[in-house]
Amino acid sequence: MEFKEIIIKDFLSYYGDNSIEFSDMTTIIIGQNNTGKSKLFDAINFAIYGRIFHTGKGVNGEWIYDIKEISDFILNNRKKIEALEGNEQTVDSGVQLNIELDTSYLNIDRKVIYKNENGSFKYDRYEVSVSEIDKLDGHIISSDSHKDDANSKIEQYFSRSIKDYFLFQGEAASKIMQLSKGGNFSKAVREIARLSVFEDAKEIADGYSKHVNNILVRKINKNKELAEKQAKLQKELDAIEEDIKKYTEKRNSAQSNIDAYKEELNLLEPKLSQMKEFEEWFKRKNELESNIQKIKKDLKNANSEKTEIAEDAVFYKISDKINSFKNFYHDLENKGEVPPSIPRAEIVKALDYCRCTICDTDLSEGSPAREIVKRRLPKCDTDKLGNYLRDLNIIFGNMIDDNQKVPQKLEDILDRKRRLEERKKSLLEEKEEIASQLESVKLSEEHSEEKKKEIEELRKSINHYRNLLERAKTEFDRNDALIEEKSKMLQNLRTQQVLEIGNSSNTDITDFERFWSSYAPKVAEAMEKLYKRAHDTAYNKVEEKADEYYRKMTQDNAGLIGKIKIDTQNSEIYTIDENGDRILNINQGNRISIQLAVIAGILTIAQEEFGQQYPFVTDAPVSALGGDNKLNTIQTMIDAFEQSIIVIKDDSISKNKTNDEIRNLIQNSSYVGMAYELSMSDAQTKNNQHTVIKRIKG
Amino acid sequence: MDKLKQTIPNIIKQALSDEDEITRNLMLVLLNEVYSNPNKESQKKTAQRALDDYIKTAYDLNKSRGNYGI
Repeated sequence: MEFKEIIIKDFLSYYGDNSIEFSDMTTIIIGQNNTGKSKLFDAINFAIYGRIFHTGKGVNGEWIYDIKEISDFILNNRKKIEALEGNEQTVDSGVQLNIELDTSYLNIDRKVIYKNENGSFKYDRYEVSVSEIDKLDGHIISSDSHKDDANSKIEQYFSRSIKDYFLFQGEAASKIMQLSKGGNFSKAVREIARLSVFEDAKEIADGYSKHVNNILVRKINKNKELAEKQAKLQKELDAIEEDIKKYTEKRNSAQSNIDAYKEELNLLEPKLSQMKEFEEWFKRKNELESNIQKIKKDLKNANSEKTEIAEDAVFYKISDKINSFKNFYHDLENKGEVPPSIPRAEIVKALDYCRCTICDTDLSEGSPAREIVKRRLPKCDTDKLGNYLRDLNIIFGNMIDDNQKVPQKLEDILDRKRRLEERKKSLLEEKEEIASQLESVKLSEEHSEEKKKEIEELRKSINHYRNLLERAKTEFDRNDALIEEKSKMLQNLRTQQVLEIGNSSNTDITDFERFWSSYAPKVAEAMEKLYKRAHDTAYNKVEEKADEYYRKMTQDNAGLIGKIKIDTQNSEIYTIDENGDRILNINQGNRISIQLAVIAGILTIAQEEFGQQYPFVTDAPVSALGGDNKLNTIQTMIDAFEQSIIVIKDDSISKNKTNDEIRNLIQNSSYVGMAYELSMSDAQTKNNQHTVIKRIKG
Repeated sequence: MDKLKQTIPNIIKQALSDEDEITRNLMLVLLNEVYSNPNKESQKKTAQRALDDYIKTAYDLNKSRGNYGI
């Protein structure tokens, strides 16, 4: 990386457009106090980082980054006056910096635009743009005009951590020597040595390795999980198969039993069938015996019924006689041969009505009939036959219907009696027959008893086997159902097993994955080594190189110089003597030399080891140095940096010998490609003065 | 990667020399991605993708040479 040219426009002491080209080696800018040397340094800082150094701020001055604050004093005074006089509405103040990269040019343009408001220029806006142009064909590689994008682009090449190293301001040297973690020096070393890049790469490689490892571990675990699942499934399958086997055995056993029992029954049942004759005989015998008993009972009943019928018959005969007598009496009564059996109440009633209620005879007063009845009346109650007949009338009146049925009933009873007699006769005959039959089998009675027992035993056995058969059938059916159920489960599990094996067929670790998993950790390990190497190199080589420069800078010193030590543990940079002890009393000159040597060391190592090349720009680096150290330091800077821009005070007017030697160095050193002398223009007022640039070499 | 290869810093050259060809190229792929993409958010993804791509290429190449696995 090289700074090619800076164009400063109406910026601080620079009026109009001021171009300074830089040598690809060393450019020295000299000038007396207040001629714009530090303003040039500010211009470079403004272009890259948008900052300027404000000497009036803080104890020793401070860098300002706030653009509004910066805008308050960067507009060149002369330009401001002229623009107001010319009634210009807008003016701008800024810097363009052209940088050469490996294969392209980077052009940075940063400016503040002011607007005329009632006779004074006020901040209007802030513009930053960066464009990258291809070296070979001049095409624009990128162009960022948005402030944030442009600043990001600049930061890709100029990290903020290194700003105070390659843009070195002598007075601020002590600040950048902080070694503590996160301190300026550590940050700069990290940035210049690209430790952050190696660290990022290391972390990415590490993450990548873990990522690959995780994928494989997941896969292995998945396989393991699957194997466990399969084993579990297989175990279930085995258990079910075992169950099916067990139930099948039971079912087969039940089937064997069924067959055996059926066989037994097949043997027993015909036997029983063969004994049917005996059975029939026993049955018939039992029936006959039962019938005899029944007949005996029926006969007994018939006899009893006969008695009853006889009693009824007597009753009905008596009542028939009574009825006959009654009819006879009524005939007599009607003939008047016997007194009517008229109740006393009827006679009284007839007398009252003066007419007989029975025969309608006139019974009026004085009639002969009335006289007869009156005479008859006292006898009525005493007439026993009359009373008796009256009672009979009442009784038989009620029984009249039954009396009418008596002949039929008698007939029925007699018929029943006859049938019973017949049945009795028949039963007795049957009984006789059975008795005869029983008599005929009497001789084999003993034998039949045995048969009877045999049949009973046979039937018992048959029943026993039938029960066993039923139980065996139930057992068979139960086991058959269980086999069916388990077979279904087996089928389902086998389907599941097939599906799972099918779905997980890609879980085997492939050759590619083995290949992948072998290289991912290798890269992580290699990046870890690289980072460590970079880290150690950054500090060790910077120390080595810084010491080398320090020796060159102080080569003419008579006193103890020592060796530069970068103490990363205690976060300090100091010098040590030949015994390794820290040198405590270091003069200001040597301190500045140490600082410059360390910076030179950092930038050199960045270039040599890490491929990072930065121009070295310094303002008043040797102001605190005296004697030969000043010249040696400048010479060392010229030797150390590929490109350096050194801004130093011109003391030639005071006829200082050393200063003359600087001018001689400018003229004589072939490494100093260009040199400029800054002065202030002649003007009536201080406000009209501005920096004048004179090229004195190149 | 070409840009990086043109100006490979010494420190990387030394580190690369210790490794086998595939690891060396993987390191270069990774460093190139980190160098060329300062955006930390996207850096990791693009770098991992580039590593994936290279691993696949390297594997195919290895296989075509008759080397299966490692």
